[in-house]
Amino acid sequence: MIPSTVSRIAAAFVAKAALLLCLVPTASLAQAQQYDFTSCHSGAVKVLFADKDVTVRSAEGWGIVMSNQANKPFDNATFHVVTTIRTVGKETSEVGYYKLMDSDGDFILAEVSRGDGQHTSRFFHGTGKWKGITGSGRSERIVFRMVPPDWAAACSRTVGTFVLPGR
Amino acid sequence: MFIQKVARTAVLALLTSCLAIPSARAEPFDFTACMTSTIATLSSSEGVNAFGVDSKGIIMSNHENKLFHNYTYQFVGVGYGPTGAPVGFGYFKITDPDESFVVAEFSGPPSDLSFKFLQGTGKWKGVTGGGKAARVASGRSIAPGTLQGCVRFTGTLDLKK
Repeated sequence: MIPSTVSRIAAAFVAKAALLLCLVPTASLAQAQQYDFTSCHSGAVKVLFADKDVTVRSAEGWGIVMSNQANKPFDNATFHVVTTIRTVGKETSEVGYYKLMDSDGDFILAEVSRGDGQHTSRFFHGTGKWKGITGSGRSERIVFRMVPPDWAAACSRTVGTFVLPGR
Repeated sequence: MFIQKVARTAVLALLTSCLAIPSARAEPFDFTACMTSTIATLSSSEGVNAFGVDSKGIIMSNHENKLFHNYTYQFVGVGYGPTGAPVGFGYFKITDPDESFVVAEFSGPPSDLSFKFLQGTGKWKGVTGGGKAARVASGRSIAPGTLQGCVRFTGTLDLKK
């Protein structure tokens, strides 16, 4: 009698655990998609303040994305980025936003930040097929040139994941 | 007698081949330049456009020799023809971080672009060569009057020392 009860409880537990293990992660994993792209941009730099210790600049650039993946999310998307950059001694921090637009004209807004040598981005808004997008990524610079007095250009590789509700 | 004739022929062949080798070795390159451009439309009628282009961008080398990696890219030119397939002509300048630069002439339709180096300064003084180019990325314009894209350049150069 006791073993039978234990068996029933164990079976029910296993069934519930299986349900949880199978359904919950499957639902969330199905939505998370990886992306890996190289983006390049060029644009204008304005200096708000500069002395031997501190520099504060703004930058506005326009560029394009080339996907490094076979399924090519964001391939040929163009973007417009606006950031502010603060350098104090050897420490540089940056905060900004970019608008990424695909070939259909649907777009994604993302926040970008740099600090402690890390470049990160976070999607927080989308339109059309990108409505409700969330996700984030980390970037590494491939090339960067500052061309005095007023322009700069760069390419970076960004790897991350994004989630679209209901997909 | 026969041996002398063979030796003479061999020496002659060696000299000929040595003279035929150029003093500078042709160096291959393969790079991608990504840029944003401003377009000044001169005319647009019946699907045919005449326009000027001013581009600025940066270069990533695809070759193990890393020639031109991290050079800036600037282009000025004009184009004429149907939307999406104009014939263009212009000049580009690619600049090293040490400010040496190379100037090239660039022409053709998007499907068959070619370029030729015209001039170099600093470490590129005396550069010759050229190659082909093809668009590898192009998207919808992110701002009015602008275009964003990437072009891959392949070819060889000679540097006479």
